[in-house]
Amino acid sequence: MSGTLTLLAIGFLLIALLVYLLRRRGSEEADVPWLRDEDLAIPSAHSEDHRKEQLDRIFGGEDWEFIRRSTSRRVQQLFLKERKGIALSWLSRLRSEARTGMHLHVARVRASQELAPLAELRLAIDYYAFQAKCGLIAAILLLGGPMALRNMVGQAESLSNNLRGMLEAALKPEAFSQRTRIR
Amino acid sequence: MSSYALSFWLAGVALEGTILARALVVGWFKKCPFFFGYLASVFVQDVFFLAVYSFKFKYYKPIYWYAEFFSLLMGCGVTWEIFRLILGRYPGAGRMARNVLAIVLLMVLTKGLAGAWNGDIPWTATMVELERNLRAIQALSLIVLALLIAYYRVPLGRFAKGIFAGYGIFIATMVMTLTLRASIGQAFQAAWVFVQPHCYAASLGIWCVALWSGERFPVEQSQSKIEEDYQSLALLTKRSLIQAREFLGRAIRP
Repeated sequence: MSGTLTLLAIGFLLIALLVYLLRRRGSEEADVPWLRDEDLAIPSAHSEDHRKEQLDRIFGGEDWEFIRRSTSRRVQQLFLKERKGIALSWLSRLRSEARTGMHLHVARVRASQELAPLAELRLAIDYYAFQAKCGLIAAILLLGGPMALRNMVGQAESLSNNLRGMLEAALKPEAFSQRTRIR
Repeated sequence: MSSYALSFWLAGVALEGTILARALVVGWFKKCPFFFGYLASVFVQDVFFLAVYSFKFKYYKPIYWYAEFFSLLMGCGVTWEIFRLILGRYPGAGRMARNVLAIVLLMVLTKGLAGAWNGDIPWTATMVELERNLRAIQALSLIVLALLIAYYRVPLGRFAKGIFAGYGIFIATMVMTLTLRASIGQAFQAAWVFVQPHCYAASLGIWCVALWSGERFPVEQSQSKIEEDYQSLALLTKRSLIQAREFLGRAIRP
């Protein structure tokens, strides 16, 4: 009976995957549609400072302390609601950057003859684990609000810089290889 | 045979003939010999079977199974050709596919041998079960290919997509109908006789639509991109992701 179910599942899985591939947007294009220049734009030093300020504001405690001390309960609730929305939006952008970095990676290695399957597998696990943790943080944000993650500011900044570094490096082919060659 | 079944059979032959005629005109036989060879063999079989069914019915069943296994062997070639067609320009993804496929086939083989050793799984108990198992291996190969296409975002041309989708749907429905036929038995025979030709007709329809477009055959052109040092790239991406994960881990600690 389990063998029958397994075989039926194989059939269904194949059909589901084919439907997904048929519905995939831009799959007939010769190049990767999701690697647009604007997606890969690296933030400047100015925007980096701006970003740090943004993070301090989103997760910092000063605004909340002020609101808590000097406003009504209704205003406090409104503040928390808006901050939650902003924090979720920030997290979504972070995930999007990680996704773009990973897409850039797979777009480059898929044509590489040096691809190491085991390393690729580990990388995929790392990536999906990262995405899962992002999901966990999103859940904490939804349940506890941004104030529950106040200690995140510094780490979030490092994470953001780290991902940006990855994208910067990925956008400079010469940085990856000492021995590039034309295929 | 009912007039509906006969007209369906003839429609299938007509569709196969149409695709083959176009392939001959455009010159696709050289580019995809296994796929069009497979289609040509099915076309010949269909015409031949129609004659046998009509005039010498007692020979129909044994001939059917011989032809079915010949098609099965040709189908293995088609599966290989789909891999070549889609991953030919992407040696990295192709290498990954070979490795994953080797692991999957090793697992299937080990399970099959273990089952046969214990006497649990009579692999060749019936022709239906044997064909089902071999088709299931093909289905697993196509699942591996589909997953890699999705993961590596391999662009699919209309031609490759059409062949893959048509053949994939044919194999998936074959696995399911053969499984139900082997599991339920004769009670499913009537449904099988009805469902199987319709599934194959759906595949023929997909091939007809996909191969009729004016797309140029995807020539295996060399990409004028600089190949990166894989190790550096993989290490960099991995390090970044591990660090990012650690930061997130610290963030959620109280």
